[in-house]
Amino acid sequence: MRRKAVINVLIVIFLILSAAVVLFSSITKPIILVIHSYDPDYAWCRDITVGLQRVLKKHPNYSVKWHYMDVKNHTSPAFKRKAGIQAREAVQRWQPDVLILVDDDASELVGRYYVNNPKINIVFAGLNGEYSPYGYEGAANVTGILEHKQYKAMKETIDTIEKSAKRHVAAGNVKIMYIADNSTSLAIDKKYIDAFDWTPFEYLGSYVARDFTQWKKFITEDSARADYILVANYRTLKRSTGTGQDELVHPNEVVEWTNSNSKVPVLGLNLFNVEDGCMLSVGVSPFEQGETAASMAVDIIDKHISPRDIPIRLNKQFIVAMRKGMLLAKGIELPEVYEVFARSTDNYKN
Amino acid sequence: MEQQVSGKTTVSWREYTGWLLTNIVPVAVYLYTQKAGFNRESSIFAAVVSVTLVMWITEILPDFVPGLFSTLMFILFSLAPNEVILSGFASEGFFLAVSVLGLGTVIVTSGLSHRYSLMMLKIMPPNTFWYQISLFFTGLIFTPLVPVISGRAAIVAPVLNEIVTHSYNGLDLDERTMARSKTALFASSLIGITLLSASFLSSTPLNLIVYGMLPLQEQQSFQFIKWSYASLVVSGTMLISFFIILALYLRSFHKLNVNKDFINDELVKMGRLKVVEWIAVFGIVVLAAGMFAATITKISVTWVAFAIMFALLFVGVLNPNDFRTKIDWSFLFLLGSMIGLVNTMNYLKIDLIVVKNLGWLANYMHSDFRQFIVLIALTIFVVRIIIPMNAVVLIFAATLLPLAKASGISTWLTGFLILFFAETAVFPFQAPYLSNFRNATKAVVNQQERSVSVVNLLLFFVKVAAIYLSIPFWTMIGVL
Repeated sequence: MRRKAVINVLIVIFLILSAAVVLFSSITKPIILVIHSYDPDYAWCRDITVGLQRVLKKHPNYSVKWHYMDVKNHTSPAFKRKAGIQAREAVQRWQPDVLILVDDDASELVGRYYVNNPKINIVFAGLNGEYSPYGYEGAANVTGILEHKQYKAMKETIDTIEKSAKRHVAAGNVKIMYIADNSTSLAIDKKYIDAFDWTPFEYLGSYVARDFTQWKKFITEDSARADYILVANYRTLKRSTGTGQDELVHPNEVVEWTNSNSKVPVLGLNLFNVEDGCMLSVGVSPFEQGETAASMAVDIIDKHISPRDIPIRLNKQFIVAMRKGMLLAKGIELPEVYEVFARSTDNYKN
Repeated sequence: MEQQVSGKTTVSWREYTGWLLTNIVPVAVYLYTQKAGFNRESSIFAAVVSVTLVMWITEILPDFVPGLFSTLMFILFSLAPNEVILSGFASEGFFLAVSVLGLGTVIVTSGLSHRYSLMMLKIMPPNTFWYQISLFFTGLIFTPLVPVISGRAAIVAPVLNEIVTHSYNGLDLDERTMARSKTALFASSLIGITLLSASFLSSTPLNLIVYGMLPLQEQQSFQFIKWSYASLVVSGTMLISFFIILALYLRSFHKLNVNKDFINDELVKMGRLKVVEWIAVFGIVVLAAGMFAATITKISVTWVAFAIMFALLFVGVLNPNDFRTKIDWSFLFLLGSMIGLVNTMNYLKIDLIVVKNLGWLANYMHSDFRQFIVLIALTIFVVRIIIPMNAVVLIFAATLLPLAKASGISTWLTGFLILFFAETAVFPFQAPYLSNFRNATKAVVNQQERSVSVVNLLLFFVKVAAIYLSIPFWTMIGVL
């Protein structure tokens, strides 16, 4: 009987000690909460996640949580409000040491609520424009990496195409047009692309389509004036506004239609444009965005560096993606190095 | 299924039809989908799921067998990697269900639930009103703690039997009043064990299945507390409605001749609170603490519940025999296979085909959610007359959850609506627990079946109203 009592005491001690060790380990484990503005199937998000994981998988002692706001597929203000509430609930639930906010909507709907919060450090990624609209300017707990489109690299690519094509068109006669949907991020991008110095080419301006019907109109009626059409995104295009056809058009359908109906080459400013069906894109590296944000989070957690002391960075890397068959069909030949680059980053398609 | 009549084995029409359709439907579905341009994998998936549905709807086999059939077929046809097909068995939902069932088993087998029931009877004034309230709240209190309706029925039915057996002696009541009084007690008990089934994650196996079918993000969001919090207005409305129905329709208030000596004897026999009962209470307290302290401990409630079940096994309170026999493993296999089915469907991108083909419904959900509530309520109500509850929930959840996600409607809310409306059972044949409860009490309770059906029908309309009343609350907390 006495031995039984001793055994019972030992069992209880073992359980209490086990629970205490687990609790201590769990409570002291750093938590990183990644809030994506969009959905996990969106190529941009997917590749940023790849970049984040390249760094974070080297830190198995971190607990990494993921939250997707999905505001690219659901663009209404009501949905954004709801998505914001849910994302902030996730922040309250996990109480993360570092909050990684990907793309503008996450900063708009979540980040601004935690500026200068002493318990939460913010690392943003994929901010298309300035960070000051979200209250990040001078904030003690915020750092991150901006995402500015690679217009210079695109200009050089177009220059290379022109030279390779030996079209003998005077550079000043090459005209470029930009067509976009009316999403938040592209609204921010618009002022940058409009302000960019496209010389020696002629920039015809940006066209913002409110729906797919208007997009089609731009392509059929206006694109013939240009030699190249630039696109970045079209995921928020509704089939036709005001007619009850509110469903979003699948990106593959938009690109397929655009390729078939455009008289001039359509080039992408995002890596995933080629995945959607474009012939060539020169885009911001999502991997750099993810890797940089994750490295900043590691510095904050492991090296105890305050976000204030980590400078906000501008993206440096770009990636080329191509569909060679489509390029050749349009009579476009690029130097070998483009193909090698695309192949080496697994962004080459025949 | 098979019945012995005059020494001969007869087979029901349902069974004939079921096995006939089991042979015809998959071939037809495969050929149709091939003609419609589906790829090989999608056609096989559709054919396998169609057989599974036929088996569920016609009830020719226990629910978990068709579920396992689908898992086996997906693996043998290599429709997805094994880790996707079998993902349900490694999911948090699976382990949460195991843990909740384990804790529920201990609450019942330790005698804690029986002691609670007796103590309530001892305290309550001896009249039908207070006993109706007692029976109702007994069922209600065990709703989040005992995760099977039949388990709660097993707790409440003996108490009801005790009351009816020992409390009507020497009362001068005519037969009609007596029947009405007993029906009121019966209905209060029944409503108590079922009324808030959809309001707590842990109150029925189907809740845990739907939880397991939600996207991971929604699962993390709608664990125990948030699930109940989001159901708050619905729960409140249902409770208030119960009291109104009690006052207006189940009114049969009179004194009872309660044999308190009998109750005292039973409690004396049970003795003081036993160690196992203390441990069961401790388990409940730790689980509750784990829920509220999740932001501090950073441990998901699933693993808190699993740790509790492990501790119960470790100290021997949940003995190996109870672990084998009292936990509903057939349900757990159904749960694992269902989550695997949904994940296989997503892997094959069939959810996108569903969304594309039922785009009108997705648009409807998105553009007019208020009308969608009526549509789903009426559809489920009608379908439930001929199709069993489990099958209805599984079919509706597998179809509507991808649509909800595509249309930006909360998948939890959609799952909740399905569970809430599917739980309505006006006639005894619509829910096995209803017939079981009636059988468990029929020796002493000659309840008026029609009255119980009327109450359940009234509650269906109350449910629709409760959902509408919840809309502003859901909008406020960001669910809608």
